[in-house]
Amino acid sequence: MIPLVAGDDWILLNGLARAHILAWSAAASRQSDWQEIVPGIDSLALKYDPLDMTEAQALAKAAVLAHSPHDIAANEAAPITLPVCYAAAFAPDRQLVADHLGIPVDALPDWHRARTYHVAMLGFLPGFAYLTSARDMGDIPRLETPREIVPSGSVGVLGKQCGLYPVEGPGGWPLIGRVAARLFDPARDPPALLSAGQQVRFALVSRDEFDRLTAP
Amino acid sequence: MIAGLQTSVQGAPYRGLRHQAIPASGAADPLSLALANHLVGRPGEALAVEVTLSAARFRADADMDIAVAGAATTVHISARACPAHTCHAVRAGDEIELPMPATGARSYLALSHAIDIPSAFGAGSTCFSGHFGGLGGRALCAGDGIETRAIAAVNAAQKTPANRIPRYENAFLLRTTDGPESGWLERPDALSITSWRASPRMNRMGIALDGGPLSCRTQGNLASSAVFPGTIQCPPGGQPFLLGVDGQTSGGYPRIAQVIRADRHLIGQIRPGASVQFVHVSVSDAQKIYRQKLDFWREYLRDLQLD
Repeated sequence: MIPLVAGDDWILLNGLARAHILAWSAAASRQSDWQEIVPGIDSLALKYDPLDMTEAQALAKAAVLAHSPHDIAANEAAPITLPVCYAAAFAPDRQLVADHLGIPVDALPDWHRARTYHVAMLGFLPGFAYLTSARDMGDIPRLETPREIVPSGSVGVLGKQCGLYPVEGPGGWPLIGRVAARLFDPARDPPALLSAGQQVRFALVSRDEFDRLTAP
Repeated sequence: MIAGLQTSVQGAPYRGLRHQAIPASGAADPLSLALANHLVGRPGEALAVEVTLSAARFRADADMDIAVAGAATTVHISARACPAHTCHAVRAGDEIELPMPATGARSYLALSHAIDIPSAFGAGSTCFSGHFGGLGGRALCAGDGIETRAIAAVNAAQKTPANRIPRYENAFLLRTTDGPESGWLERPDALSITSWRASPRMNRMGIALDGGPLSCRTQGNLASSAVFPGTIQCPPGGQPFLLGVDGQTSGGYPRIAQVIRADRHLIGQIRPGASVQFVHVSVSDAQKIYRQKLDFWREYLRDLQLD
């Protein structure tokens, strides 16, 4: 792993395994010299103030991270189970996804919730979690015409990932359900419910149960 | 009263929250924000009103001082034309109008009163994609009221010294360093030798640039990875996209260059049709320029932050 200089105030550690991203991200927060520590799918970006560090000093600090222990468990937030409803109204693209996977539509909820996921990173929209699973995800294609508005809580599948919409926003992810959880709450600190490395499972709820859980 | 194209309450960016996918937000041109705030005796990153391109009109509900900096060169106070970069006293009932500027894109209306936005974290700048901060996380509409609170007067500068007033032409020179995928460009100097024009496809998230197009080797899809304000991405069509303060925290297109920290405040003043030229510099030069620019400005604006 050779840190890559990317701009005059950030560097990128590229081509990393998940274990390294999590361990080095935790170690970087302990160094307390970084203005931003941003995990990607296979990378970790570190932003600094050039008044505090030169390029050479930043690279030397990043190189130290490579010697951090890779004890994932120590760096992960507690596993979480999210209530999910796969009702037709929440799953406008279930036929498309089921067809792509070659399974009946009725089998899609089991296909989705039988897996254990990990949060690979947050990106795209505030609090938006990219979930990966050790099991094959089928490489789902993007919607040909993205939606202008995707409701918050929507569960999408795209490529080899599952994405959770924390806030209403635009999107090309095929939607297969909705979670009954506040994934992003600006009145909370930190506002995002999920964090990189966290284990996520899904528990099936009925539409009635979903409505009860999300009632104001 | 007249909200304009996109008017929002902006101050400091959200810092240290990109791992939560929270964009920087805050003033698109933090230097102009600090200049306006300084004139009314407020901290450089105090919340103010950011006005984009078009004219906007407000009514003061209390006596206070106001100042305007950024693209606008005048402000009309109850139909009386007054210069920007000057502290003006307004009375309750006065109308404050920022006319459409001839050059530049964003103006800042700073108030001697504090704008209080309750916030669990950060300073309360409007975050459009997260629907929080400012007034309900959105742009101001006609009829909106911004709550202000009178605070003890501080010694305010009456006028910005002439040599401290930035002039915006509709031509920008932005210095860049390499991005992680600069090596994907067919010609390493392609960005610098092409003249670019800001397209109408622009907002606080970013600016699509017309020109070129660039030839960029696509080495498969890039796994989602960090981007920052000032990152220049090259989508498959070869029309580069320059990220602004509301830019997403991650992206999947090649990052072919990075506007240097010292020059990112200029991105907020680029309007559709403006010409943009990029000049490549080394990282050590970029860091030296940043230190020099801060040294120059902090003689006047002690608390200036450039992210």
